[in-house]
Amino acid sequence: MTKEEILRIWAPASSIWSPWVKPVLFSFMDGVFPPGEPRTSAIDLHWLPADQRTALILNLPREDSVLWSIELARRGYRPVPLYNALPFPLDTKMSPRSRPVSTVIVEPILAALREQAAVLQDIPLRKNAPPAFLLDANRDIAGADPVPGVFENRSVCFSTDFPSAEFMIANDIAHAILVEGEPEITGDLHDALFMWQTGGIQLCKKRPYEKGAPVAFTLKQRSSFRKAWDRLRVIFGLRQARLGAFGGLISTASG
Amino acid sequence: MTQSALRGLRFPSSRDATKDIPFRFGPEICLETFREIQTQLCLDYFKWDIQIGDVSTLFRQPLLMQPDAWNELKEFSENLSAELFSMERELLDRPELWTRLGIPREIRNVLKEAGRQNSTKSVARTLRFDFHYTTEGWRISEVNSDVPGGHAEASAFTAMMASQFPGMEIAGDPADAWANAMQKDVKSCRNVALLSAPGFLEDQQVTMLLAATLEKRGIRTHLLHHPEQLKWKNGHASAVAGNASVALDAIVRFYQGEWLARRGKNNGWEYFFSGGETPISNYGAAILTESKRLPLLFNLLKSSSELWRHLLPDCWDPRETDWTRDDGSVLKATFSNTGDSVYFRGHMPVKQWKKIVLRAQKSPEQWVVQRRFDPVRIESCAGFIYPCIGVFTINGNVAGIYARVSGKSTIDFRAMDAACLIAEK
Repeated sequence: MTKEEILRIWAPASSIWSPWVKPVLFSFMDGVFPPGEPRTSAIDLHWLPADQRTALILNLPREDSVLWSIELARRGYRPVPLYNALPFPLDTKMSPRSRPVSTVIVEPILAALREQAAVLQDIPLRKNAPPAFLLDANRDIAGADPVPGVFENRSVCFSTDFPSAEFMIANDIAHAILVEGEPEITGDLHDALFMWQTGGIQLCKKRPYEKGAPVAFTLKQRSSFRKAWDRLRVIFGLRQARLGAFGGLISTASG
Repeated sequence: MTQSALRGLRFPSSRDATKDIPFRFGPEICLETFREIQTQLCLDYFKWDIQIGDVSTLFRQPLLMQPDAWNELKEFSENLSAELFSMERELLDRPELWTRLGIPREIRNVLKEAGRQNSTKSVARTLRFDFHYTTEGWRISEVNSDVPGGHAEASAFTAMMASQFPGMEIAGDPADAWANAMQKDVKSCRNVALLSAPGFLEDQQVTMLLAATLEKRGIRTHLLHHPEQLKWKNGHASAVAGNASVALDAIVRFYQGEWLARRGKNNGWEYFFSGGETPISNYGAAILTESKRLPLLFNLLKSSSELWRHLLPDCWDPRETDWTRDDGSVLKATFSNTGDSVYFRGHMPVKQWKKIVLRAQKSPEQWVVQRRFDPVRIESCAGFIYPCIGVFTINGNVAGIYARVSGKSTIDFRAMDAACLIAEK
C-alpha cells in the first residue's frame, strides 16, 4: 500500500472524525522501518459502554493504542491517530541500523499503522461511529538523552488537536473515557479534557490492565501557578527524562 | 534607503479605499480535488497542522489579486526590506538602543562584546511582511524578521491551487527561492543543519520542508532540536551524524532568538549572534528588527524609515500613552510571532484584560501599543473574511505570498491559509 492509501484507510472521507487525524507519521510510511513484532496480550474490553455515545482517548505506550483501536473498531469505534512525533530524520530510505538513535521509539507505531491498515479497511464503520483517539503515552519521555547525534523526537499534544465539546455533543457524544496506565492525568491532556468537561462532556478514566469499570472524575481548572509549573515540567524540562531535558524556556511556536 | 529610491512609490492615502479593493475570492474548488491537495500537501510537503480544533486550516477558495496591486506590494516589500537592512546595520552599532527594543540582557551582552564587525555571517536572509488592505489602503501590521514561516503554504499549496485556475499565476515559490539563495550564498554547500524547538510541530514542518528542498539539490541535511546538539570550535559548527562529526557549511535557525538566550551558558548559543564563522539563515542579530518596538526608534535612527512610517500604524511605548482605556489601539508583546500575543480592549473578558494590563505595566519594555487600523473584509463562501497578505523577501528580493484569512480582524494561529494567485493582466 502507498502512504496515500494507508492515510485514506485511517482517515476516510466518509468519517466525520477524519479531519483530526494527524498526518505526521503517514508522511514517513514510504520509509524503511522494521515490521511490527507479533503481540499476544489479550485486550479486555468488557467495560466498554454499549451506548455508542462515548469517545475514548487511548494514551498507551508504543503501538498499544493502535492495536487496541483495531479491537475497538470491531466494536464500532473509529480510530483517530493523533501522533505528533517525527519517527526519524528526513532520509526515509536510510536503513534503520544507519539511523541515529531517537529519544522516543516511534517505528513500532509506524509499523502497526501500516500493518493494521489492511485489517481496518475490512471493518465496516458508521460515518459517525464514536471516536477512539490514539496517543503514545511515551511521547514526551526520552529513552535516550538528546546529546549530539541523537534524534530528538519527543512531542506533546495540544487541546487544539481535539474536536471541541460542541462538535462532540452535536455528534451525539456525551462521555469520554481516558484509557491510560498512569494514575494521574497526563499533563498535556489536562487542557483538552478540561475543555470537554466545561463543554458538558462527562469524563471517566480506565486503567488498561486492571479489572473494573471506568471511574468518573472531575478536573479542576488549573491555577496560573500550576499551569506555569506544568508547562515548565513538561515542556521546559525540569526532569531529565521529560521534554526539554537541557532546560530552557520555550513558549509559543514561531511565525 | 535614499529619498530618490522612494520617489515614484505610491503611498497609501487617507481616501476611502473600500471602493477599489484589489482582490477577491475565486470560486471554491470541488471537495474531492481539495482533499487530494490536502493529502499531497501533508504527505509530501509536511503541512501537518491542517486542522486546529474544529477549523480546517486550508481555505478552499483562492484569493485573486490584481496584477497592479501585486506590483505595488512587491515594490513596497523590497523597499521595506532595504530600509530594514539599513536600520539593522545601524542598530548593531548602537547598543544604547537595545534596551529600548526589549532585547534580552544576555543577547545584548553577547552582541555588545562582539561588535558589528564580529557579527555572525547572515545568508539567505528571509523576511515576511504582513500586509492588510484597510479603509486607508495598504498597511503592514509587522514584519517577521527572525523566523518567518509559511513556506509550504506559499509554495506547494499555492502552486497546487493555481493548477486548478488556468490563467492565474503564482507570486513566487519562497521555498525554492530560499534554497537558491542558500546555494548562492554558502560556499560549497554540502552539509546544513536545521534547528527547530522540540515538540513544536508547526516549526518542525517548516524545517522538514526546507530540508527536503535542500536534499533535492544534493545537500545533506541534519535536523536538530536543541542548540546543544551543535558543537562549536573557533566559531565553526559541527554536528554528529552516525559516529562521525560533520563540519557544517550553514545552519538554518527556525528557533526564536529570545529562546536561545534562555538556555543557559556554555552551549554555544552565542555563536548564532556573534563570532560564528558558520553562516546562518536567519542570523541571530535579526532579533533587533524582529522586536515589535522597532518603530519606537525611528526618530533616533539615521537610517531612513520613510516607507515604514507610511505603512505601519503609529506605535508607542506603553508608558507614553493612556492605552488602557483606548479602544483604538492594540497591545502587542515585543516578541509575538504568531499574533497570539496581540490584545484588544473590548475583545476579551474584563478580568483577562486587567491581567494583561498589569503585565504590561510591570514590564513595559516587553510590550508596544499600536494604533488599530480598519481592515477591509471581502465576501467568501464562508461569509465575510479579512485577508492578510504575507510577502516573503529573500535577500531583499520578493519571493512569494503566504496569505491567511480570518473571520476576525486579527490574524492568529487560528487563521486559515489561503492561496493568493495573481490574475492575468
